[in-house]
Amino acid sequence: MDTFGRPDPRPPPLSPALARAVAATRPVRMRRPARALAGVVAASLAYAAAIATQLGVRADLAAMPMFPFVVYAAACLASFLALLRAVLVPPREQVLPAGPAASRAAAVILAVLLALDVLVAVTSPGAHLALPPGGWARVLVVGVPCLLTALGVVSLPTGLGFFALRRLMPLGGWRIALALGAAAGALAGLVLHVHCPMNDPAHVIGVHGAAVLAPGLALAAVFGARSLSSRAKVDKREQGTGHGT
Amino acid sequence: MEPEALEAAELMARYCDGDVAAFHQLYAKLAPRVLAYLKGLLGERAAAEDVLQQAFIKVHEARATYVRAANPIPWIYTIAHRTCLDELRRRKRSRVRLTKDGTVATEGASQTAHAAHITGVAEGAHESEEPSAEAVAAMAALQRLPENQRQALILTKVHGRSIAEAAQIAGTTPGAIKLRAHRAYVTLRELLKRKDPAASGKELA
Repeated sequence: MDTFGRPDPRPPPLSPALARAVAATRPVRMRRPARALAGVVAASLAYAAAIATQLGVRADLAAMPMFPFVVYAAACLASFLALLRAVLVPPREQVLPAGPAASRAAAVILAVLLALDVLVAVTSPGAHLALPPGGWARVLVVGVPCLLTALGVVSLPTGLGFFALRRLMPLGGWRIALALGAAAGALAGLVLHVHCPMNDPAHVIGVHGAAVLAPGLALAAVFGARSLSSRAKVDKREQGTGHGT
Repeated sequence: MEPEALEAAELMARYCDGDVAAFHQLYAKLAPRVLAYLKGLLGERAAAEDVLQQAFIKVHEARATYVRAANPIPWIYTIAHRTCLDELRRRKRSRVRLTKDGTVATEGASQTAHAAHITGVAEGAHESEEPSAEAVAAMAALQRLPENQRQALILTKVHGRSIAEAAQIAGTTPGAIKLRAHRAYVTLRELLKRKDPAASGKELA
């Protein structure tokens, strides 16, 4: 019964399509989110390791200050795992992932990774805090190989993540998309951190930072725009009908 | 978990294990309130029934994504809501307007179809004993709210879901649900004041 004191309406009998589908019901194996998480993590890490091995470890590894290097690498790895968990494992007794919690975690983690990225950039040997000749345009041009590498790295975890989430995107899916993209971006940041020998702070902050941030922001923008556009269409259509006026 | 959620979880698990009777029990238990929710969103019983059937087909198809022992109610509401949005986008609904004296002005559709189209309230009269004039006016005004505000208001004020559960269904934060419900409530009150000055002092919920 609702607040107006009206009883819930009597539902119709099952439609022929629904009745047919239900009559043919077979037992299904229910989802095990932890297993899906383990699969996506294992495949993504193996893929990222293969790319890093193929490209080679940075030549100046021995010269790098170990503390910021290890902290950033560990932060990227932990961020990847934590965000994927937030995306793929729903809270206790829930079926759908918790979008708001995942997006909040993604926002905090991206900010921390960006701060650590700056720390790595300024503590690298021979770091000069000045833009190279040619400015940011030049930084971007030089950074194209890193961006392409990052694009390659993020593709698999993102694809696998969405596959694991099929039929499970909650309303407000941009939040989950942000977290999934941020997880993939963290993994890309780790690969670039281990591989790219460029110590120029503008490159490390501008290009590697963008590689970490962009996947999450881009996916959130795509899903957010879709959601806004569909909501606008629904509201416009309803206003157009003059429903209930 | 609340007893009704526990029971729904048990039925859903049995259904996933291949027990057809469990589906029928689940349908009998949840379909009335999901239908009421859809009626509130769509304002039309026939469309709500169609969407209800589609939503349960989707639940059937997506049953392998259910997690054992989880509460299936918010999940089913979410599927129903998403199906409803798809339907609203897809359908070419005939235009309906009420004139100032309350009669239906038709635009390319039969009078009978319009009578069913105005709101779920008119049909609700068949189901409830005597819906009050305030309830009829409120349900009609509800249809003029933006979709997300209407969803928040229906879930929290009309169907009595908790803020947390409504947030879970809508995929947003509890704060956002409170805000949307409040805005909807304020707008609704304004609409009702304009429609009926005598009702200006009356509270809805």
